[in-house]
Amino acid sequence: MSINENDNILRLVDLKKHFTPHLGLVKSLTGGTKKVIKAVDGITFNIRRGEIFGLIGESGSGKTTTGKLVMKLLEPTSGQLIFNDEDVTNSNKERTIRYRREVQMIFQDPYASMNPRFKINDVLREPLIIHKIAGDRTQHEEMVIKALREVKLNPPEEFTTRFPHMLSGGQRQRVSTARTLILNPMMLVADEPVSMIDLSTRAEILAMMKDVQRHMNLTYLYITHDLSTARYFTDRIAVMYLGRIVEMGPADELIDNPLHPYTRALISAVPEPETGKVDIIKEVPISGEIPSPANIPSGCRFHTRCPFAKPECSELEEPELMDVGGGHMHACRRWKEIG
Amino acid sequence: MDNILDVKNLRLYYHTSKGVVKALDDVSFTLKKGETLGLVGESGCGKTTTGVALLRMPSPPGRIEEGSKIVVDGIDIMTLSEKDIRKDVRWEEISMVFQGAMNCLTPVYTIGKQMMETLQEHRDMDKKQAEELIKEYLGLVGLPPEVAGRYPHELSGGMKQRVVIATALFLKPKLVILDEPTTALDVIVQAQIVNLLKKLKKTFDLSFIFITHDLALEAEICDRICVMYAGKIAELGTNQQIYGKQGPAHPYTEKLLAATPLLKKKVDTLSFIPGAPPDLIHPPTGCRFHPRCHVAMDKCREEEPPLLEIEPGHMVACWRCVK
Repeated sequence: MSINENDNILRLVDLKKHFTPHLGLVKSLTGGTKKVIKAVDGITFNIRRGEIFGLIGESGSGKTTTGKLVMKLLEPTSGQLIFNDEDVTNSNKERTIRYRREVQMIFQDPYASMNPRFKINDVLREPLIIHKIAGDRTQHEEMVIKALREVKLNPPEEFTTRFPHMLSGGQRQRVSTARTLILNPMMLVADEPVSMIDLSTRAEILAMMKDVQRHMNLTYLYITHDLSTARYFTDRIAVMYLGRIVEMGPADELIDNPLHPYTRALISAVPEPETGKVDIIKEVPISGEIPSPANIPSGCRFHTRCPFAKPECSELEEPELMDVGGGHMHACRRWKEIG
Repeated sequence: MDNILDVKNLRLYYHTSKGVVKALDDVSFTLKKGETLGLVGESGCGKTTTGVALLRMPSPPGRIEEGSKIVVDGIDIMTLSEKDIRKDVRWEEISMVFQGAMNCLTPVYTIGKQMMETLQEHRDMDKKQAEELIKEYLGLVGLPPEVAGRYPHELSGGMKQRVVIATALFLKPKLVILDEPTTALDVIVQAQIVNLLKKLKKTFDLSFIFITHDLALEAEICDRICVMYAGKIAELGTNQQIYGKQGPAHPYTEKLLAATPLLKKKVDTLSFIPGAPPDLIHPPTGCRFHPRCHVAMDKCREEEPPLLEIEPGHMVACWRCVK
């Protein structure tokens, strides 16, 4: 299926999620002020039908919160979520249940995302029961077998009677994928689906997910901190920093030609299997760690760690995403000077 | 005395009710002073078990078998009593940064108090001196002295990892075993920690054993690489021999490298190793890797390949390399 630039399955419009922590009794009586944690602070992007969209960032960048907003597991503070041209931000309960059938999720930890007392057959039948999918037991079991075949767990009949603890991490992640496919979704949100799987099988799981995506015309939102798998797996990538998108573009273009200093730093920090590096202390282009989302720096929120920051970066307003052509966008005011 | 560590025929078996799990079977290697040796392999190949065996503390029902020899800086630690090991070897000679160590800090004690425990156990020191030393070591790993008064939940993952590294260096050990020290960290913090380790190694004249499953990271820090498969050494060579132009010699290493996604090279399909590491109660006959090997021959199924030196310093256990 070719990807049409204007056919968006999901649009996030200036979406924000701010958390207000509960203030203890003592602090509220002594006049303490609440600090708002701005986990997601105004992000806008479109996911095109049939593409794999990668969302990348460090821990604390808000990528998982974004995933939860997309799954409607969290209510956004403001902004809109538009699915197939329908505003689903404040949809009623029935619509939300239907939405969750159309947009499914694969979780990070394959060891914790399945009931250990359920056989694989029950794990896969549960969504059918929850969503009241028509059919008797035998029909359901046929659907289970079909889903297991789709994720290449062969022979499927042998797996239905097993318990999760009898499967390897890779096999479990295949079952997780099958569990989402059984409801015929349009889109999958995958939050670090391979980060807990052994390196040798990671590529196998990603290849399987790609096959399934092509075969069933799915759209993926792939959330990860791993740039290397993102390059291999995705069509487009958005890089998040402290609740905002700082750069977005086609995967190859973004990695071969990064424009934002943060993206550059991420790319240069990734180790590569080459010789002659043992005695070299590699220059880490940015120092420190990601600031707290309760205390976001003024101006460009990256200026506190940016090697190219000038006074203007902290004084002027926060830069918006600018398009440099070919769908490559970034939010750095000084991108031309730092060339 | 050139070698800080000399391991010979190390065997560690778990005696379970289902049978004997041969977690480490005849592992031999040496480590020179000031060297970093990387241990790589999939989960369940014996990397962490090797680290724990070197401290002589296998978790039950594991047992280091008769005939295993571990010589640390000239002392055969297999002959020492548990009491002597505790007093003179662990943390004094060898220390270890455990996997997920940053989650092992007690949430109810301050960092300073947790670090103090190590000192009180091993050194006669009054509180003032100990506090000074803690501050000094926190400084060495790039943390401000106030951290001593903080609780673990107030620190980020990278900071906790630094605390754990400082604690491992406290008693001036000669050898530090680092078990996946950067796995849970982001790339930028990982690069910072790798740099810190390289600096500390110079300052304290340390030797490292660096355990990870990430071959790309290994290339940046290790002088020599030891590839383990199913409790045995598959290949052992210098950084150049494993990552250099000619490529590794063992098919397992070759496959592991091919499965590592590279950021700077676009590939359409990544290769992977089908199947999983074998059950170590009933390991496959012959070469343990043969059921997953793409170039296995008849001989591989029948006879176990010996670990042979194919060029100076490059050992491989593969029948294809035996001329």
